[in-house]
Amino acid sequence: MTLENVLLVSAILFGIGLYGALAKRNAIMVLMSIEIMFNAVNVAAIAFSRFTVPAGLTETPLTVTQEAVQRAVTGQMLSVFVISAAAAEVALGLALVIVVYRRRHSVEITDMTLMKG
Amino acid sequence: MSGVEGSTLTDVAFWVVSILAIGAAVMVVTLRDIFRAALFLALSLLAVAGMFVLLRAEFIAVVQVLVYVGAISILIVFAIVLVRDIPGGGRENHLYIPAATIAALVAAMAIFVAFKTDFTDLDRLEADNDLVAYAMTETYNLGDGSEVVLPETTRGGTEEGVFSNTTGTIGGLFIRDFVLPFEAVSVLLLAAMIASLALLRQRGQAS
Repeated sequence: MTLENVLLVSAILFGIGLYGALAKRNAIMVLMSIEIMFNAVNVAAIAFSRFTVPAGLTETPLTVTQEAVQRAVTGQMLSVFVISAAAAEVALGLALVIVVYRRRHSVEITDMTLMKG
Repeated sequence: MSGVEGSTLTDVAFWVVSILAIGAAVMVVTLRDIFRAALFLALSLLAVAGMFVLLRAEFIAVVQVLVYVGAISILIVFAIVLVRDIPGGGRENHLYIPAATIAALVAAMAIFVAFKTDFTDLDRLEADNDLVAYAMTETYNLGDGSEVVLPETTRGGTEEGVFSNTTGTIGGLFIRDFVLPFEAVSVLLLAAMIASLALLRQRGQAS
């Protein structure tokens, strides 16, 4: 398990999610694909947090202060905020899908042409 | 987890979890039945939580299971049940070939960058440096105990590394360095909750 391998998995997951978000007709499928992309980003952030060295820590001997430990988990902090934003996004997105379904009886993105000129 | 045995075990676990996550994600975007796709999404998210555990982010793994597997998956299943639109299923639109091309290009670019960049790798730095230096450190020691020789103070029992107490460190960071983003996220969640309720309120319904 090296940084490169984890980033490989993250990139593949991101590609799968991007394909789903671009190619799917169903709005719920698009939301699910976006969740996969969020997850890929989280995996990358936590992999960087785990494997790379925080700035100012490269000198020897490698004494670690509390500040350095805090800097090392910054990637995990980022993913906490990403998860929160994803939760807000999916709640609002599904509410919008249900509103659209009530009005037009369809959740196909290709049918959502309300703002077409 | 010590020595070569621990690291190969971690490697095997990592590849199992990775294949599970990628395979379930592929099922999500290829299945026609949207309900089954939602279940495979939950499986993929669970596998990613396992990957977080392997990456020494136990707190994030727990948050992942609680928020993604526990809440978001259930929310999506609820939405699918409310919006029963089976003929629409998981069909692709007519632009799926360009979409696949773009996705493959973006993934290939990310993989290329990941393998070509020379990151300052923590494990490699530890391997290159003289490990005797660790014995002099008293407070913490850099490393998670699985790949390096630990100093006398931390060899037996508890693992004292950078990632030994991530939950406590994260909690401290939330109320100190990241207090502004933390408050902003709470306002964001409140706004999303109120907006969802306002959107879904039936017109003409008594409040």
